[in-house]
Amino acid sequence: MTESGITYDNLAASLLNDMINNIIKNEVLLNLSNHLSIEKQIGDNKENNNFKFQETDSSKDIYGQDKMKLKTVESGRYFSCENCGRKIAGGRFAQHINKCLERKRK
Amino acid sequence: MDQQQKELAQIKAKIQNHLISSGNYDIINKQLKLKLYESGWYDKINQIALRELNDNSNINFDQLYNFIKPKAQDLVPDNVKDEINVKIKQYLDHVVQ
Repeated sequence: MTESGITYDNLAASLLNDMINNIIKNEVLLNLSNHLSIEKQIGDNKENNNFKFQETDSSKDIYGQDKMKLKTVESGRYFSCENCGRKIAGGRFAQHINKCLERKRK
Repeated sequence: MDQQQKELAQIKAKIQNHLISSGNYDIINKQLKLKLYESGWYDKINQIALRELNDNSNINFDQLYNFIKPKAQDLVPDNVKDEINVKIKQYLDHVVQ
Protein backbone atom coordinates (compact mmCIF):
# COMPACT_ATOMS: atom_id res chain seq x y z
CA MET A 1 0.00 0.00 0.00
CA THR A 2 2.78 2.39 0.92
CA GLU A 3 4.64 1.46 -2.22
CA SER A 4 1.79 2.42 -4.48
CA GLY A 5 1.52 5.64 -2.50
CA ILE A 6 5.14 6.39 -3.20
CA THR A 7 4.83 5.71 -6.90
CA TYR A 8 1.67 7.76 -6.99
CA ASP A 9 3.49 10.73 -5.50
CA ASN A 10 6.47 10.05 -7.71
CA LEU A 11 4.27 10.03 -10.74
CA ALA A 12 2.73 13.40 -9.96
CA ALA A 13 6.12 14.89 -9.12
CA SER A 14 7.73 13.62 -12.29
CA LEU A 15 4.84 14.85 -14.42
CA LEU A 16 5.24 18.27 -12.83
CA ASN A 17 8.97 18.15 -13.34
CA ASP A 18 8.53 17.37 -17.02
CA MET A 19 6.17 20.28 -17.38
CA ILE A 20 8.58 22.69 -15.73
CA ASN A 21 11.48 21.43 -17.81
CA ASN A 22 9.48 21.87 -20.98
CA ILE A 23 8.74 25.46 -20.06
CA ILE A 24 12.40 26.10 -19.26
CA LYS A 25 13.46 24.61 -22.56
CA ASN A 26 10.98 26.78 -24.40
CA GLU A 27 12.14 29.88 -22.62
CA VAL A 28 15.82 29.17 -23.24
CA LEU A 29 15.15 28.54 -26.90
CA LEU A 30 13.20 31.78 -27.16
CA ASN A 31 15.97 33.78 -25.55
CA LEU A 32 18.65 32.20 -27.66
CA SER A 33 16.82 32.71 -30.93
CA ASN A 34 16.05 36.31 -30.06
CA HIS A 35 19.66 36.86 -29.22
CA LEU A 36 20.88 35.29 -32.43
CA SER A 37 18.48 37.19 -34.64
CA ILE A 38 19.40 40.51 -33.06
CA GLU A 39 23.06 39.62 -33.33
CA LYS A 40 22.63 38.88 -37.01
CA GLN A 41 20.88 42.15 -37.68
CA ILE A 42 23.27 44.46 -35.92
CA GLY A 43 26.45 42.64 -36.90
CA ASP A 44 29.57 44.33 -35.57
CA ASN A 45 27.73 47.44 -34.62
CA LYS A 46 27.42 46.33 -31.02
CA GLU A 47 28.30 49.59 -29.33
CA ASN A 48 25.84 51.71 -31.23
CA ASN A 49 22.59 49.98 -30.59
CA ASN A 50 20.15 50.88 -27.94
CA PHE A 51 17.88 47.89 -27.83
CA LYS A 52 20.20 45.04 -27.12
CA PHE A 53 21.58 43.88 -23.79
CA GLN A 54 19.40 46.14 -21.80
CA GLU A 55 19.04 44.83 -18.35
CA THR A 56 15.94 46.08 -16.72
CA ASP A 57 16.38 47.31 -13.22
CA SER A 58 13.26 46.69 -11.20
CA SER A 59 13.58 50.01 -9.37
CA LYS A 60 13.33 51.98 -12.61
CA ASP A 61 10.54 52.41 -15.13
CA ILE A 62 10.91 51.89 -18.88
CA TYR A 63 12.39 55.37 -19.36
CA GLY A 64 15.07 54.74 -16.77
CA GLN A 65 13.50 57.01 -14.20
CA ASP A 66 13.54 56.04 -10.57
CA LYS A 67 10.17 54.65 -9.57
CA MET A 68 10.33 55.73 -5.96
CA LYS A 69 11.25 59.27 -6.89
CA LEU A 70 8.42 59.45 -9.39
CA LYS A 71 6.01 58.21 -6.79
CA THR A 72 6.93 60.86 -4.26
CA VAL A 73 6.81 63.56 -6.91
CA GLU A 74 3.37 62.47 -8.04
CA SER A 75 1.83 62.03 -4.63
CA GLY A 76 3.21 65.40 -3.57
CA ARG A 77 1.70 67.28 -6.46
CA TYR A 78 -1.71 68.86 -6.06
CA PHE A 79 -4.48 68.48 -8.58
CA SER A 80 -7.67 70.45 -8.53
CA CYS A 81 -10.85 68.42 -8.50
CA GLU A 82 -13.14 69.38 -11.38
CA ASN A 83 -16.13 68.38 -9.37
CA CYS A 84 -15.76 70.33 -6.15
CA GLY A 85 -12.91 72.65 -7.03
CA ARG A 86 -10.75 71.67 -4.07
CA LYS A 87 -7.08 70.88 -4.45
CA ILE A 88 -6.24 67.27 -3.73
CA ALA A 89 -2.81 65.63 -3.34
CA GLY A 90 -1.95 63.21 -6.17
CA GLY A 91 -1.74 60.27 -3.83
CA ARG A 92 -5.31 60.74 -2.65
CA PHE A 93 -6.84 61.91 -5.88
CA ALA A 94 -8.33 58.61 -6.98
CA GLN A 95 -9.84 58.05 -3.58
CA HIS A 96 -11.23 61.57 -3.50
CA ILE A 97 -12.77 61.54 -6.96
CA ASN A 98 -14.45 58.25 -6.18
CA LYS A 99 -16.20 59.70 -3.14
CA CYS A 100 -16.76 63.11 -4.67
CA LEU A 101 -18.59 61.77 -7.71
CA GLU A 102 -20.63 59.45 -5.58
CA ARG A 103 -21.80 62.38 -3.49
CA LYS A 104 -22.84 64.19 -6.64
CA ARG A 105 -24.87 61.25 -7.88
CA LYS A 106 -26.83 61.13 -4.67
CA MET B 1 14.20 -1.63 -8.43
CA ASP B 2 14.90 -1.51 -12.13
CA GLN B 3 11.73 -3.38 -12.84
CA GLN B 4 9.83 -0.93 -10.72
CA GLN B 5 11.28 2.03 -12.52
CA LYS B 6 10.46 0.49 -15.85
CA GLU B 7 6.92 -0.01 -14.74
CA LEU B 8 6.72 3.54 -13.51
CA ALA B 9 8.00 4.81 -16.84
CA GLN B 10 5.40 2.77 -18.67
CA ILE B 11 2.58 3.97 -16.51
CA LYS B 12 3.85 7.50 -16.81
CA ALA B 13 3.94 7.32 -20.60
CA LYS B 14 0.39 6.02 -20.66
CA ILE B 15 -0.86 8.70 -18.33
CA GLN B 16 0.98 11.38 -20.22
CA ASN B 17 -0.68 10.30 -23.43
CA HIS B 18 -4.05 10.37 -21.79
CA LEU B 19 -3.26 13.70 -20.13
CA ILE B 20 -2.50 15.27 -23.48
CA SER B 21 -5.30 13.68 -25.51
CA SER B 22 -7.90 14.60 -22.91
CA GLY B 23 -6.83 18.25 -23.03
CA ASN B 24 -5.98 18.31 -19.35
CA TYR B 25 -2.30 18.82 -20.07
CA ASP B 26 -3.07 22.13 -21.73
CA ILE B 27 -5.24 23.27 -18.86
CA ILE B 28 -2.73 22.40 -16.15
CA ASN B 29 0.16 23.74 -18.20
CA LYS B 30 -1.62 27.04 -18.67
CA GLN B 31 -2.30 27.30 -14.96
CA LEU B 32 1.34 26.59 -14.24
CA LYS B 33 2.49 29.24 -16.68
CA LEU B 34 0.10 31.79 -15.26
CA LYS B 35 1.32 31.12 -11.73
CA LEU B 36 4.92 31.44 -12.89
CA TYR B 37 4.15 34.72 -14.61
CA GLU B 38 2.48 36.04 -11.49
CA SER B 39 5.42 35.09 -9.33
CA GLY B 40 7.86 36.87 -11.62
CA TRP B 41 9.64 33.67 -12.49
CA TYR B 42 9.72 34.41 -16.21
CA ASP B 43 11.37 37.76 -15.63
CA LYS B 44 14.06 36.21 -13.50
CA ILE B 45 14.78 33.51 -16.04
CA ASN B 46 14.95 36.02 -18.87
CA GLN B 47 17.37 38.18 -16.90
CA ILE B 48 19.63 35.22 -16.19
CA ALA B 49 19.54 34.17 -19.83
CA LEU B 50 20.20 37.70 -21.04
CA ARG B 51 23.13 38.16 -18.73
CA GLU B 52 24.66 34.86 -19.75
CA LEU B 53 24.16 35.59 -23.45
CA ASN B 54 25.69 38.98 -22.90
CA ASP B 55 28.77 37.55 -21.22
CA ASN B 56 29.17 34.63 -23.53
CA SER B 57 27.87 35.35 -26.97
CA ASN B 58 28.90 32.08 -28.57
CA ILE B 59 27.07 29.81 -26.18
CA ASN B 60 24.97 27.07 -27.75
CA PHE B 61 21.58 25.76 -26.73
CA ASP B 62 22.79 22.82 -24.64
CA GLN B 63 25.22 24.95 -22.70
CA LEU B 64 22.69 27.65 -22.03
CA TYR B 65 20.03 25.11 -21.10
CA ASN B 66 22.34 23.31 -18.70
CA PHE B 67 23.36 26.63 -17.21
CA ILE B 68 19.84 27.85 -16.62
CA LYS B 69 18.01 24.63 -15.80
CA PRO B 70 19.14 24.16 -12.16
CA LYS B 71 18.59 27.83 -11.36
CA ALA B 72 15.21 27.86 -13.03
CA GLN B 73 14.12 24.77 -11.14
CA ASP B 74 15.22 26.29 -7.86
CA LEU B 75 13.43 29.53 -8.60
CA VAL B 76 10.02 27.93 -9.02
CA PRO B 77 8.19 28.95 -5.85
CA ASP B 78 7.18 26.09 -3.56
CA ASN B 79 3.55 27.15 -3.37
CA VAL B 80 3.27 27.05 -7.17
CA LYS B 81 4.77 23.57 -7.20
CA ASP B 82 2.39 22.43 -4.49
CA GLU B 83 -0.65 23.86 -6.21
CA ILE B 84 0.09 22.25 -9.54
CA ASN B 85 1.02 19.03 -7.81
CA VAL B 86 -2.40 18.97 -6.18
CA LYS B 87 -4.01 19.56 -9.57
CA ILE B 88 -2.09 16.68 -11.11
CA LYS B 89 -3.02 14.45 -8.22
CA GLN B 90 -6.66 15.36 -8.59
CA TYR B 91 -6.43 14.40 -12.23
CA LEU B 92 -4.74 11.12 -11.31
CA ASP B 93 -7.42 10.41 -8.73
CA HIS B 94 -9.98 10.94 -11.42
CA VAL B 95 -8.27 8.67 -13.93
CA VAL B 96 -6.84 5.89 -11.78
CA GLN B 97 -9.67 3.92 -10.37
